[in-house]
Amino acid sequence: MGSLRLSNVSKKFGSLTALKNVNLEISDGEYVVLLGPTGAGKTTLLKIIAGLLKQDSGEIYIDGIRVDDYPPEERNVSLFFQNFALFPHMTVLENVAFGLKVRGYDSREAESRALEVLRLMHLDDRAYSYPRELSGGMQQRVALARTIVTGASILLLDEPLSQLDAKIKSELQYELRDFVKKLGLTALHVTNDVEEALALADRIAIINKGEVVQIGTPFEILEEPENVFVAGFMTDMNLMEGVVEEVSENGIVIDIGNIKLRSSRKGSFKEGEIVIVGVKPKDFKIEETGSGLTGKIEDSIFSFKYKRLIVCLDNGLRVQVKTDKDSFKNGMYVSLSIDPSKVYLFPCPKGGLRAAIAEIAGVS
Amino acid sequence: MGDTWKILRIMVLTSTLLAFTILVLLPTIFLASFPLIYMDDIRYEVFENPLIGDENLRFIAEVLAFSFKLSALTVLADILLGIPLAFILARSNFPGKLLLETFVTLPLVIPTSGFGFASLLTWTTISGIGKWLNLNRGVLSITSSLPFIDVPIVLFMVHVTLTLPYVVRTVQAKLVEIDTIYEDASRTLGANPLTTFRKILMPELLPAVFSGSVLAFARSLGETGATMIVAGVRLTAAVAVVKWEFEFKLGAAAFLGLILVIITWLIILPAELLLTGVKGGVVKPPSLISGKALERLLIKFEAKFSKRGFKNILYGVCIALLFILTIMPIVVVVESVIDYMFKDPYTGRVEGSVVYQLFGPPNYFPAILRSTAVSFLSAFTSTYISVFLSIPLVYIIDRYKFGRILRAMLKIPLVVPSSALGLSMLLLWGPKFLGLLTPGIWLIILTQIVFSVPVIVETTIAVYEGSNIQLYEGAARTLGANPYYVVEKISLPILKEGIITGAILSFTHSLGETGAAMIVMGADVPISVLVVNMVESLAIPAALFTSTYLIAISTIMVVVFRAASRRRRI
Repeated sequence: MGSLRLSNVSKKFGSLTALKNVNLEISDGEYVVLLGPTGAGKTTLLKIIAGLLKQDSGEIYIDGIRVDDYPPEERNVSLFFQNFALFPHMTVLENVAFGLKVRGYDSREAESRALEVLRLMHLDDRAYSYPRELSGGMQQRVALARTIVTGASILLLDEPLSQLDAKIKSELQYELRDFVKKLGLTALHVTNDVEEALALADRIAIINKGEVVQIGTPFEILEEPENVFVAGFMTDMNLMEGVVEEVSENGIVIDIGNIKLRSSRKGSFKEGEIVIVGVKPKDFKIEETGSGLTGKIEDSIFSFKYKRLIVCLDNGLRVQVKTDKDSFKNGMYVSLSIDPSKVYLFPCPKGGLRAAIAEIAGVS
Repeated sequence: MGDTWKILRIMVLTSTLLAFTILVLLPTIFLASFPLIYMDDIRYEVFENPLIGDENLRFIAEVLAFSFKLSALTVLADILLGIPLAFILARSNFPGKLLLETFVTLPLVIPTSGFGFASLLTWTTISGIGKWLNLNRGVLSITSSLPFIDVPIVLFMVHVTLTLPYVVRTVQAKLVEIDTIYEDASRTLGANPLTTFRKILMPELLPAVFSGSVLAFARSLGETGATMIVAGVRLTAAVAVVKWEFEFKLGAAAFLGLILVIITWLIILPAELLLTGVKGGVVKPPSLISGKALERLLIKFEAKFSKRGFKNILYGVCIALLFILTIMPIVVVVESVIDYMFKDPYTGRVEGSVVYQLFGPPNYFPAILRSTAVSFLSAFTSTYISVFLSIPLVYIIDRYKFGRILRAMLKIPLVVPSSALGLSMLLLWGPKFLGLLTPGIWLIILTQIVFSVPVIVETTIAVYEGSNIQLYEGAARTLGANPYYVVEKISLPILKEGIITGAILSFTHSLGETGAAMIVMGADVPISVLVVNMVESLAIPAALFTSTYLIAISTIMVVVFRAASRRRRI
């Protein structure tokens, strides 16, 4: 058992809105990642679920029971902290057994159960070390052991991997998911790292400025971003401002500064409305000659398998194009084409594209 | 070029150490020579007096026992009241927090004799709480004692108030340092707030609680100004030293002073060594009870008292007690001075008015003016000299191996009862030994230097250690600055906040100090002693006025102090 439901949770700090009507449902055994830029309200939400903060309005249900007035120690959720928060004056074993002892377990029983979990984490030989004597990876495992030993079925993880080196991070992130799944726990994991979220999550909830803006599987989010923020934060889409010129059964025609694009995607837009057009670099078809979109290659950047070209279109807009051919050189004149079903359209947010990009970069 | 600096360095080093030895060290260790110098006097007065035999020895044992009982009880109350108050100040945020913090700090700078008189007035006379409750007497009598332990209540309350800031401020400083993440972790692991406090915070807090308690204990043991006013017929050891000195029983006074110092050190030293030797400054509470049925019972008990309401009640009670102990006496004394301004409000006689006593035949006004001059002049001079002695001392403590010993020695004046210190000063400089100075303002200044230097050194070192000063000094040197220039342009500006905080603390301490001043003052009566004299000669309206005046001065001081320490935080 371990389901979690948030209903219209809001929180303000003074005049600052930290969370606004957050709704989220996580079913038993699911691994959900809460993803958003710094300051989006992720940690606040975790603290509210754990009971360390109280929401201004809204309800929290754990296993169908409303827990709003429960203190943290009675909620049966466990929180995994960013820098592990291992008690420095206790040994590894004492740290892990803490949650059992304070629940009134006999100390011998508490320690034997703690040792069992440590064995599972391959740390039983370090039971009598102090946290400061362990490596970052070991500390993480101790923290995880401490978090799961109490038997709480909901695990809240606050940027659990942010303190680790990039190299061991990918290894430990797999290990983490493996443990959680093996033990059948429900997890809500907070991060601002897109790759981490894609690798770990069953579902991702994207949060921005205290609002959950989209929830879905990694695939759904990558393929069907619902707004400019998600598109910009999760994908490398080219985003351009344009004006709807024609709405017909054949699709929508948008003018992006003397260049016209056709989109066959659904969306209710009116003629004359300003919209944001999104095209993924991989969806451009690039040819050396042809009509339509034409431009000059300004620069190219190598990645593992493909080349990323910066193409300056005739109207002065710059777009990124992915290609796996090496024949395109800087300075070449090329033509681009796009399948209309791959042209994404988003309503223009307040402040236009410039404000949206600043928001994605976490500047505003 | 290099030689010049070398010579300068040696000159600074020797002159600082010499000044330190003569001004600070010698007076404090001179106490130890008492039994040798006054062997005959001591034998005559304490052990084999032809008239009273060893009556004085029995008396000494009695006052010592009473003093230790009082101080131990005071520290216990300080801890019980101080830890919740430290929590309120460190962990919660509310509109009146700044005001509460000021109230907590006030007793640090308030002259104790003025505050003692205010408390006496509040609790034992019809001008105080009794009037507000429509009683025809005070709510307490000066002889009212705590049941079973026989300690006068008013004396106990005054000692708690005057020593509370030491515990609150040290614990608060430590709490601010501890990341709340450990408390959060403990709560989400299933521990209730009280269990979290006991198992997670207490081990980290114990050293701070202890060092605050040591200061509080020493201050309570040496407190003289307020004690003389509110103790009634009871005598504490510190007051007995003063009393005997006035009766010219120097041998007995010296003997008692020495015993007081030795016992203080026997209590403080082992604990100090024990705590500083602990790894990482964390104390592991003995696990005698963990895992046993008792521990489980304890957790159940703590869970019961961890309900939200309990915390609010506890905090409310602590704030109320602080208010009653600190603010009430101040309100009462200000109210009374208005009542007594032109006539005695009860008899209607003009002779009982403040104006009459100040400007009429009793003519206290010139005395107040003169005492004010003595107090400010001596406090200013001693603070000024102490600052200039402290700055090179901070460097010496940091740069040389023997610095640690120096720092340990500097703790001695902090815990020596002030009347014992005064006696030591008198005997060292006075006609009995060096014969250089007679009691008067110069001896007051020298005495104040002894307890001012440690305070300024401690606050400056705190800033020194917290700011990467050697890095900046090194950077300045590689950029071509000479050592003198570096100290003036780099180090002093960085250390400024610590020096200012220390200077203000030692200035206010000098202004309010009574015990030592009474012994070394001669005819130059400082204002804090004047209050005691007024109370003893029953010039109540004059005492009222002077207390109010002292409290007003120190309130201004506390505002200045707060402004200075607030800037340091940024």
